[in-house]
Amino acid sequence: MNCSEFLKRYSEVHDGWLRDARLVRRLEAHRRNCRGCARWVELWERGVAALRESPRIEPSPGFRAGLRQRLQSEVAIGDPIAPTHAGLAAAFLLAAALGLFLIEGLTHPEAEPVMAARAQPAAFPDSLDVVPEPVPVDVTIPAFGRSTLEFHSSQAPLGTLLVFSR
Amino acid sequence: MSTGIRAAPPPPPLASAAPSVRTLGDSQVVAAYLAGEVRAFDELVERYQRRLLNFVFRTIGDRERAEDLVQEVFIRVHRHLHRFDQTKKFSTWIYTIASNLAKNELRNRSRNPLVLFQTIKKNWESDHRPLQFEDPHYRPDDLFRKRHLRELVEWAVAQLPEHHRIVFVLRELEGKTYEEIAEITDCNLGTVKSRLNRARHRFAQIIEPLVD
Repeated sequence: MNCSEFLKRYSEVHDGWLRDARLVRRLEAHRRNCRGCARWVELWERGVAALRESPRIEPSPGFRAGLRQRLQSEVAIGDPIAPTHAGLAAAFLLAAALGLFLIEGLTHPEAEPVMAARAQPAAFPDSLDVVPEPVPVDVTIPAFGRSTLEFHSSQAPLGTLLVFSR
Repeated sequence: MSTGIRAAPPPPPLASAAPSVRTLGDSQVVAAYLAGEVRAFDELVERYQRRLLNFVFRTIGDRERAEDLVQEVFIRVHRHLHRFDQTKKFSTWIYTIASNLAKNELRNRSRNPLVLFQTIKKNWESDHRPLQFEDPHYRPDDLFRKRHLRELVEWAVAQLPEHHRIVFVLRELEGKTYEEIAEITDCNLGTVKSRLNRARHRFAQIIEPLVD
């Protein structure tokens, strides 16, 4: 038995985990004969005893009131939405979106060619010099004031948007 | 007619629990709560609030935050108790929730150095240390030495790496078995043994130059 083996296995002896009586005897014998290992066990046991003597902290006086409040708001909000409710809500939204799409399609058939035209990919300019001029758009975004937003792809600018505040 | 949607349970009163519940084992208290005895939840809070508070406090080192997290543990217990497998041990389940919340807290803190700094600073302020009532039979130098040792070992625990510290606290202070620790920390027994052994080594190493 050497110190490394002792340090590896003694923890299990201490916790009553090691069932091999012969090995336990060897470990105990090593502890008696090795000052270093005996010191390690003493430090650990003494340290843990001191820790256990440390006063346990108590919940603050407001702990239960705080918990009660949090539990009440939890119940007020209710359980997370049950899957059945979530499914119904999703189905309803989908039906509404589909209905709007159909109504829009039936009442504005002239929109179709425009959509078809838009579906065609725009010709990419041969030169970066022919990027179209930005068109000012009058929108109210006070935080921006008058700003220019430019959109870039990795290779070329995609467009520019000027933002004016009123 | 059953709709298949489970209604949220009413909030537990958190007053003193009925005397009959106090004599029951944890699993029976859980069963009583699920059967509609709302005061049974108080009993669970009463049984676990101190233990969990000390466990979480030892793990994260911040008392105020530990209280928040323990409240969160009870909220989660309340929310998911109907899903708890009653063939399992309730204490292991509740410690698992607490351990996961403590680990998340440490992980979030390590991503936010400011929070970490504030926690360390706060813990050094003497106002946050628990009051200690000393045994008057000790001589002042004994009292000082004893108090010094306690502070030292508490500091030593805080120095352990997170996954070693949790295992160490669960074993040495909460008295959990290896199997329970394995379940709480979601590790196998070999990992628990190895972490515990390393934690004990490190703990002894840290306190060695400071003791005597």
